[in-house]
Amino acid sequence: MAGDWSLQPGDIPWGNRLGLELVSIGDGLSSLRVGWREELADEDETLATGVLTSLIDQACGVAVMSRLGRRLAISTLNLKVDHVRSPEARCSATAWAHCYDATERRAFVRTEVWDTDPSHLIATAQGVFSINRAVGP
Amino acid sequence: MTGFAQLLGSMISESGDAFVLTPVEYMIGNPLLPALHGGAVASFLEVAAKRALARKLPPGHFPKLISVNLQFLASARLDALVTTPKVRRVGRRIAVVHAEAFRREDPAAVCFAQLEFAVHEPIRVGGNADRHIL
Repeated sequence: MAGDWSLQPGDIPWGNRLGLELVSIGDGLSSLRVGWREELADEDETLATGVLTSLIDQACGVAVMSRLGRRLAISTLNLKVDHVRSPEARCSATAWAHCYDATERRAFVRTEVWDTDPSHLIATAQGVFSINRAVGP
Repeated sequence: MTGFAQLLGSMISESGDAFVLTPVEYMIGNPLLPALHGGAVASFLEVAAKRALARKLPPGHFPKLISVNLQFLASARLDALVTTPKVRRVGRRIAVVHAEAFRREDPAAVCFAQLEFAVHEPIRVGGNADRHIL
């Protein structure tokens, strides 16, 4: 859906600071990517876990907006992140978030994160989000 | 300090067992409130928990995060956040840390994190130097 691109979260300062990029959005799904940069890495040159948590949190928000079809103010109620294995050194990470159910007030999202191979995950996450109100047109 | 620890570290100060985050504008996740990004609050708690745990490990041992379970209790404005991580268990392989972030001037908690770390022994590289991977 071309219209979905208006949901691109270009005005989220922390996402911009980390360089989170929207890859795709639609049907309750979103994909966000973060490129490797030295300032986002741990000492072993892998992306820091805090960067991955930030990527996941934002991907979840975009997936919720995609499911509900409009821009929303969303707050995270809870988020569980498992770091399945270390990412490759100096490698970007991509998150797939799926908002698999939502009401007017709450949304439920699962996320998978991979570095070089989508079938070889580096992190998985599950979260519940609170929907506060619609934003803008 | 390098990389992400440095990016965040410039905003984190330590006094005793407490860690204080003095957030800057680019940590905002919701510009309308404005409120800090959930990922920024989580990153602060992760860094504080990891540092608190590292102090309790034998020399050369280093923690690596396995899982974090976050519960958000209130939105965090652009005010200082304080956390005093509690190291609940240090085993030979696994350590558990709880960290709760509060606004400095408000006793209500903003975010509670339960973190499990793998505890790694020093890795030998080339048979002589210990390489610490944090």
